[in-house]
Amino acid sequence: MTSAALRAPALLLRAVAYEFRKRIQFRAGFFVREVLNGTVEPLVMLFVYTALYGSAAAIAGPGAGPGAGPGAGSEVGSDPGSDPGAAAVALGGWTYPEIIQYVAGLVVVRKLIFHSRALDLATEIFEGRVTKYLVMPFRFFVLHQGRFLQFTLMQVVVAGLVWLIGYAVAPDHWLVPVSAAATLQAGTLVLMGSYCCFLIFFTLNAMAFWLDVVWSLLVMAWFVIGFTGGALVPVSQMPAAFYGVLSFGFPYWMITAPIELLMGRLGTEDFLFGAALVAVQLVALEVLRRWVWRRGLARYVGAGM
Amino acid sequence: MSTLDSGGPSGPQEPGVQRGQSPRGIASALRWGLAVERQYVRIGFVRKSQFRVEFINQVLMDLCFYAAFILTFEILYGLGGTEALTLGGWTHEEMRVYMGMVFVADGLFMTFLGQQWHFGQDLKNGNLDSIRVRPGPTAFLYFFQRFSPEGLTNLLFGCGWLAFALAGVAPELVEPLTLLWALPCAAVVIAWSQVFLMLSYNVVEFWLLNSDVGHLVSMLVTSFGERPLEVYPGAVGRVLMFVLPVAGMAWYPASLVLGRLEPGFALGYPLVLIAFAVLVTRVFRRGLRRYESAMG
Repeated sequence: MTSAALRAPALLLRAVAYEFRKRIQFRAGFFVREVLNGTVEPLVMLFVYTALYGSAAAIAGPGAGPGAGPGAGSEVGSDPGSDPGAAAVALGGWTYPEIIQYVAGLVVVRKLIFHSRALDLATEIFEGRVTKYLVMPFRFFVLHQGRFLQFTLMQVVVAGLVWLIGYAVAPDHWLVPVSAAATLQAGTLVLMGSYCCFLIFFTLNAMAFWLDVVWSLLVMAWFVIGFTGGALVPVSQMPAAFYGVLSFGFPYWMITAPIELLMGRLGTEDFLFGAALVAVQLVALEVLRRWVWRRGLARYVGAGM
Repeated sequence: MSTLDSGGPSGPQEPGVQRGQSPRGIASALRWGLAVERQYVRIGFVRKSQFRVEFINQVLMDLCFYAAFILTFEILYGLGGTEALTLGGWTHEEMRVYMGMVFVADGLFMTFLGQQWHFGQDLKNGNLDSIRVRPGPTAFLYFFQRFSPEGLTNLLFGCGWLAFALAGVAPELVEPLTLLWALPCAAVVIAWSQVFLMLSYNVVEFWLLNSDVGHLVSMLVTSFGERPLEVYPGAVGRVLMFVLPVAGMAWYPASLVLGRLEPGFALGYPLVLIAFAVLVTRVFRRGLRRYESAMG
């Protein structure tokens, strides 16, 4: 019993070390996958918001941003951030400087969120390779938890580097946390949410026991998580009806809420409420994962496809 | 070796094409290309008839993407509480047309060019051998081989959204007669752009094998092209217009249909797309000469 309890953490550590070696083996691929991934959409989002706030400022009156009003369609390069009129305009409760900070926070937060490509369980099931793990004297799930841990440790470093680079390049616009406590609270929520993503992606991968292909489910799940979390528009900027519903889901507490905590728009009470909400969903997802895994194993014959 | 007909030695042979030889002449090449594509379509339907749940999943997946895209812009335009709010000069109604073009471009890509996601891996494993020995353009035979019925379904959804968006645009902006010639032109430009942009992402793989760089460039360029070019700073907009002409994917077609272009620019811009296609094809051929059956 004691040796079994010791074996699991030792295995977890070994799995983490192995996953690290695997990830950094191909340096160009590592750079593309882990460093650049997740930066494109926030960048595009920033350009869209710049144009939108420029237009809103032009409508608001004199002193507004240049070249972005109605009829100025061919003009590019408007910069409402440099214009006091545009900076004062609030859309859905967010000013332009706040949106810039949100996008900066989004770049960093997205680095920490576990993504579907980090698991290959479905392939293992399709090819009947799960069998070899089932005969080994440990829980198969520990190997995947090792992968999650490796992902998180590596991405914390990557996210830290990205934050430093952003701060060095644009210190006036970049998101600087309001306090160390807010950083800890935001980090906790992001990591809890990331583990929820991990459980969802594991469960969807386990659907390979029944389905022939599962990648479309994984992509679909990310579309839903990304949109409902605020990867495209901050949830608190959405209409009240959307916000009312989405603020109960873990994606909101994984993306929008942590950034708002870092900005000081949310406080400790919000964090406690969010952490409790996400904890409940995390437990529910774990129960679902176990149930799907057991049902899947019950029909698994080890032959693959 | 059977070449044009996937049906084996007794399969149909297109006029003007000798078995085992490349098609000669434009008409013959077109007939040959259509015959090959017909087989790819048939195989695509046969394959998907075996994966029925997957078919539904993929349709739903793309609909999720479209829904997130539509909702995002509906929310953004709703933020100002006024119809006067624009995105780089694009009104809400015009933006819906723009989104329609994006969906059509995405649908075309998913329907015909899905194989491009496997190019890096196939290059690494030497899977191009069976394609290269066939008498015909390698790029066409390789990239068009995975016809997707679910992509076609989503293409129809995209067309439906485009029709809805065009119906919502003020009649003085889009005349029905203009649509008669502008829509087919837009469709051709979208298809042309998608094919050669896709080729440009993938040529990188010849030099940086299976590196994901192609996928990153694809994601980067596609994400940028999904928004009107006017929202980007001048230099970025010009790169997307003339260097990596993503403008052909949605910006030019939408602007053409909505009458937002100067006549001279509308006529001249396709030359940029043609020049880009010639350049990319040459680089692709050069890359193909580096291919050594198993490169990784």
